[in-house]
Amino acid sequence: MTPAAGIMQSRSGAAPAPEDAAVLSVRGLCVSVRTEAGLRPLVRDLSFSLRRGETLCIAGESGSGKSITSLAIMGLLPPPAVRVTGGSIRLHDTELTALPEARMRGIRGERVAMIFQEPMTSLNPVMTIGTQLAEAIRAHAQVGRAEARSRALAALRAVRLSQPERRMGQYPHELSGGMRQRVMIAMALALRPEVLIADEPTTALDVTVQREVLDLLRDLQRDTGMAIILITHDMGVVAEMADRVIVMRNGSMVEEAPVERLFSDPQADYTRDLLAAVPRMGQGAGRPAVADAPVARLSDVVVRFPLKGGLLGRTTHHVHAVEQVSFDIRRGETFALVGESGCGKSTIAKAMVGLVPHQGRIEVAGETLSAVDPGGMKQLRRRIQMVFQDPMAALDPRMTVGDQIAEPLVIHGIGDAAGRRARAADLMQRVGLTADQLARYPHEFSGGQRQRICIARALALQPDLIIADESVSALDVSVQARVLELLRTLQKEFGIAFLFISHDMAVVENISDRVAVMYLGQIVEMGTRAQIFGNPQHSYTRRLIQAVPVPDPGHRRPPGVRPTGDVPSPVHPAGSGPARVRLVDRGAGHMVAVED
Amino acid sequence: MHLIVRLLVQRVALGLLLLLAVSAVIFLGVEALPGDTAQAILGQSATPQALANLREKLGLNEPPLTRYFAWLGGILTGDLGKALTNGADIAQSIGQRLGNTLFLAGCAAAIAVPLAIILGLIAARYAGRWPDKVISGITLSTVSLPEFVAAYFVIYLLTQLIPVFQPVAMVFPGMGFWAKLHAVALPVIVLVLVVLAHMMRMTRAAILNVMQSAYIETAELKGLSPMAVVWRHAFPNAIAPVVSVVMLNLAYLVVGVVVVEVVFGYNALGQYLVDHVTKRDLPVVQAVGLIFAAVYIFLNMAADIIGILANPRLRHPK
Repeated sequence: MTPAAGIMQSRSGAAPAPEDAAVLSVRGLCVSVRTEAGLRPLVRDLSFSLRRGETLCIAGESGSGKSITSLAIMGLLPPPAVRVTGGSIRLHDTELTALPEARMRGIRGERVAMIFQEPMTSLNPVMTIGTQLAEAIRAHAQVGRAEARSRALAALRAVRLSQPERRMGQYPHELSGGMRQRVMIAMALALRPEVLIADEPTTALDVTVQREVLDLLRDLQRDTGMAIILITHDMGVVAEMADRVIVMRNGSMVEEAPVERLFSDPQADYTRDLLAAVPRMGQGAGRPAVADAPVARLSDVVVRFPLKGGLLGRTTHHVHAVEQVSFDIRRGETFALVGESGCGKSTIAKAMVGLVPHQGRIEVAGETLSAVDPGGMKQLRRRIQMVFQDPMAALDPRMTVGDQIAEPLVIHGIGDAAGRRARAADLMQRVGLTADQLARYPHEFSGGQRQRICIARALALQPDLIIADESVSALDVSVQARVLELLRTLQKEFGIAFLFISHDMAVVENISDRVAVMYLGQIVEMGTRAQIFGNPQHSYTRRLIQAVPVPDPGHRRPPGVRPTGDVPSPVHPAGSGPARVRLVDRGAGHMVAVED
Repeated sequence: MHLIVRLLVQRVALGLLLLLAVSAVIFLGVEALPGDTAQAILGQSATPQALANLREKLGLNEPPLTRYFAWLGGILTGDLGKALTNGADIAQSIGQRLGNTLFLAGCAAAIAVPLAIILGLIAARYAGRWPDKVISGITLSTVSLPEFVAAYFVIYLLTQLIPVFQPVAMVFPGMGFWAKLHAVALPVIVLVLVVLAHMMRMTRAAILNVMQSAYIETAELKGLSPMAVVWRHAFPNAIAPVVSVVMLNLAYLVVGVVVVEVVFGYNALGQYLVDHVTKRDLPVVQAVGLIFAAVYIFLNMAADIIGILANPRLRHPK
């Protein structure tokens, strides 16, 4: 590692460097897509420059042109429809927009590298980690196989991946999401690029893993002096990582400012709106505790998935997805389940609607789930509805939204055709859309509107409980804020209870009345919102809360111990299981697992 | 490695079981036909006494189950019985023709499979551009042409206009390899034209499907050339669907080429089967039917196994 820390710009980023010191400079960049109606601009007149060792964040919501900008720099705009229609992109003295593809390939990966959002799918599943890394090195450096391998190994060490020698021979599916993103970073940095473009590098990761990856990027930047363009919608990540920030909207730059000034004194109205929409910890409005009868009650619910092995296909291991979970959800309240991926929170939702078999007792609307017959089950389904994470995947692309909203009524034989149409129109208005949009198809709506349609469909049967499984995670912050507001209004109006499943601590803090924190299939802490966020008792809860990026550049995280290693496996040999945690009441219903 | 061995053993055992079931179905099907073998041999005018004698001689009075196992046992020991029409040993008759069939199919496959995959790769690499359109257009028109039309067209072109081949594909035992190759050139060309499009289009579609993946973008970001991306990153991930279509086409090349055999006068299994079907020579139909079934089952099993071996999730379970 080269001691290049001296070259790094100070985090204040106040002193503007002379123009010629720029590693990358973009001047008047225009990118357009060719449509039937002529050229439509995607990026308009964008200019910025990037200095060595600097981190520039490009923030904005979906459709703002931030990802298109990064693809333009890489020369990877999808041909032939999308292309650069004006301006220049210069890497030192090389004009990238005029470069023929063959020479652009020489720059791509070697001098400008990029990492993406999806670490789970960004690695080729049929090639070993070592081969993929070595291939990136050999695409540019004239080195032999052995030399490429040893450089690949060094790159894995540099990203602090555990057991790097073993990882070289492994396939992507053998690695966790955080490990894969480390491999992606190693691949991008193996050739010591001058510029790294990171497009939402941590969006798909759990908060604690996000923390590790962001720390890693910062350390590597300090060591190598590379410049980073970080594209993100998360203002918390912006506040922690950026030296300078560009806010984009509809393809144009709205504001450019050093990070402190952007947060303390935003100039543009849009920036102010964006910052206001960001969910922050400690903003949740206090509500009186609901003391109504429970609409759902879980006692000692266990969900295990058998893993078969051996010649006879006997069950040798179990995945202990949910272990002895008990809680109840009261009428009209929002109960949140939080935890990282694989902690069992979505499995609980599936068990509650009867999609996975469970042991223990799940009561919904006074009926025990395992005791009802198929007819009773159909009736019970009316009482619980679900809203999923990806509204596009949850809607049938070949059915009008009107038909989809009315479909639950058809299935349960409620009303006649005219009545159902009227009900669908009414529901559309309730969720903030208009009745004349009923005849349209899902692709004609934006992401936020589609999620409203999913909510309208869930409301059609007037359920007692709506399970919202990561329902706002895929939405932009401003849209997210409006959908959360809609959920609150609907709850007040209809008295529906929500089971709100999320990995986003800030969102949970904003919307929930009570919270349960899950870890490896068990609840480790449960209480009111104030108890969990104001006075977290369990070490895991604290770690989760601390890992959330805070949208305030002045915020200094306590220099706690960096979390290391992966979450332990929930797979146990048949006949044994995880140690059951014991919850004790720390006063006023604040249940905390006893730690040793 | 344990898991993969288990899967392979399972697939092979399943294939054998399926073959056994198919043999039973074939036997039952022939059994269900009206009249029996003795009647077929002696014809309508046979006396009841002669029929009874022949039935006794052929063992037709035994219960069906006994005869089924006798037939099965014969197959396992290489004895397929005698043809009714000429009394020739079926195993011997089939042996040589099967060799001819496999030679023709093998030659056609050796050209068609690599060609289809390469064309598919090129079409996928230039999807929507002119090389793709040319390849798709040509292969689509050759597949739409009936086999015999293609055959006559090829005969006219390569024996009349440019006389380089003979119109009749005569092969006989003792012929040299190159002479044989020269003899089957025309039917091979026709078969290649027929099977090319299906495999090429599947390769193209499977690769385009894989090209949407994030890891393809990763490969592009490394600065690899587009053809390297398609060949090294996309194709290995598209193996399973491509192989299953390739195997179906190989099976067709073995069992489905009777029209081409007839046009070129090529002495192989298809023609042999059709001849004996028209003469109601049931033992031959049974034997050839079983061989065709075995070819299908074996090739599909091979496709399955290749698909398993190409998947690192099965080779290296967590």
